[in-house]
Amino acid sequence: MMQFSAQGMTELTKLVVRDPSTAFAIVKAARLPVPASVMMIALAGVIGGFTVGVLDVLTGTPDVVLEFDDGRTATVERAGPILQAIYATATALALALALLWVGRRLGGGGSAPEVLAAVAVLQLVMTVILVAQAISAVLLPMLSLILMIFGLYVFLRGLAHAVNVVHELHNLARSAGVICLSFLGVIIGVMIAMAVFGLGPQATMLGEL
Amino acid sequence: MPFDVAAVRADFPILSREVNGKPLVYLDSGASAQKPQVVIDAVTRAYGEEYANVHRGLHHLSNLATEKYEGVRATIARFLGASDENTIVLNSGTTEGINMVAYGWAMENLRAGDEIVLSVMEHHANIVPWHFLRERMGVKLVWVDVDARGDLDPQRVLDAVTERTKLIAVTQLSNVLGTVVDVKTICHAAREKGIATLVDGSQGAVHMPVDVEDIGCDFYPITGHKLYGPSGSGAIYVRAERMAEMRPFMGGGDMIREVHKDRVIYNAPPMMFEAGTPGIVQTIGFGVALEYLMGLGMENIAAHERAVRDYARDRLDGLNWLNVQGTSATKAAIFSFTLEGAAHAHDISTVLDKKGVAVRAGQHCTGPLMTHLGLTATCRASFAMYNTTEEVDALIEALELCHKLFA
Ligand SMILES: Cc1ncc(COP(=O)(O)O)c(C=O)c1O
Repeated sequence: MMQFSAQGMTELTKLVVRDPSTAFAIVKAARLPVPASVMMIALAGVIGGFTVGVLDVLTGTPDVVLEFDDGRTATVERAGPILQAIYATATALALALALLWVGRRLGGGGSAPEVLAAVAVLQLVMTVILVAQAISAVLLPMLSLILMIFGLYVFLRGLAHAVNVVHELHNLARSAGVICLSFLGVIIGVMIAMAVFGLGPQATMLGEL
Repeated sequence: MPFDVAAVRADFPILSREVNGKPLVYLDSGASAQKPQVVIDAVTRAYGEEYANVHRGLHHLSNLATEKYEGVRATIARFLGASDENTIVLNSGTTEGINMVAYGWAMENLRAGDEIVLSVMEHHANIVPWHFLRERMGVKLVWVDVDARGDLDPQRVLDAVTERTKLIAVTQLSNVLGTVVDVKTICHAAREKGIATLVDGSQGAVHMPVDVEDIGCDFYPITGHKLYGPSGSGAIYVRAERMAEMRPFMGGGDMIREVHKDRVIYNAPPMMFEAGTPGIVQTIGFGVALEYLMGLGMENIAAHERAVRDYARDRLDGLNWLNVQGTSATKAAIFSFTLEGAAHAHDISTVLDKKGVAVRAGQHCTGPLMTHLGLTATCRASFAMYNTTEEVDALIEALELCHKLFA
């Protein structure tokens, strides 16, 4: 197992942006243990969730209010930082699982620890961008938008290379296919979870029937 | 004819491939060199059109294969500056060559208490066969250290000689430090004292012109795969007087003239030391590789590699977190190094590989040298005639990434 210092982790995150295929090749070779990857994903989830939660408070983002034809309204309450953190962690873990499962079915050879490690490192990178985006949302809203687009680009590009390298697909189009199907899987999974367990955003209904 | 590295590179198809999505920078030629197209073609042709066992057949293909195979002996003699091709024993490489000397010559001529002088930077191939003699016959191994720069002072080697010394076995060029040893001084002094000398030419013959008669050694093994030939090919030069002192090391077909129930009559040397079906195609390919090298000119190759070495040395010296082992002024373009901090050599080589740079990590089969240096492992970038200064830059860039990752 390779051991990275804090400075090394910072370098790895930079490499994900600059040269994702090399970055994820190193991540694959690093043989990070599963608990370390899960902890990284959870840490990213907590920081990310907390950042979004604080951002909501700071920017005073209004709750989403749905107005129905019959005059009733439903106010979807924003999840607090803790719920946000749980959602972010659970989604990342679900995505890792989906990438592993779909990737293997499409001929990939990545193992669970490798896929988890790749998702964990990508989550860390995204967290850094998210924090930067949150700070700029307060100071320079225009930059925040740019950072959001940049973040999306880094995420999708990073994920494509991560899947390509970790599953040794040697084909970015096939990797993109794995990602699309995995996202679809996660979305379906989330919908089932919401329906079965009543999870998800809570709304308060106002008005008489 | 000036050395055109671009043209040479074009002769090696593998050098144009990518590894991990990056252009291959092959810096592991010290372990095994890549093969030029002429060698690949020769091997393909030998199997595809001209294959049969050698020596024993009277049919067309066997004669053709024998002619080509035996022709390599003369090529090797020419390459090594040996005036008599019968001083060349064909084999599978240096390891077999040195074992042949250990079993075929040393076992016959050494007694318990006799001494073999070795340098501390020998490859295991030039250590373990002598340990066999220590274990089985009570022969004593005497070690000579290298100095702080990695140089081996010939005088220190000669100072280690006693009246019980029967053999001095040293490398011509260290596969770890790149140190070039003044083997000529050692061999000439040893010859005057009647002491046999074995010069391990596995690395030396790759990087400089060699003349075994000028060096004055008794045994000079080489290995084909480092000389741009196929693996499993090789040879050893044995001075005629020493050959006369040897008994066959392996028995079997080809090395005998007659076999009876109560006696055998051996073939004449060097065939006497070549038992069994040899690496026919490998040897033919090896001959083609040596012709290729001689066509380019070993002097030209050496000059090009010196230029690459100087450039690499300057650039590596600029990395103050990198410890290069072996700083001999005349060293070859072989750089073994460690990084300051906790990074393990294997991790460094793994990261370099992800950048397309192929280096070797570990002990490089030199346990005593590693102990002497106080290291468990190093990374080694070993350059060859097809490497360029741009590839040095690629190495440096990849090392800088390692430094940032592991510092
Ligand atoms: C100096 C030296 N001697 C001997 C050998 C052994 O060569 P082979 O394994 O081809 O027999 C090597 C190979 O690395 C070497 O570098």
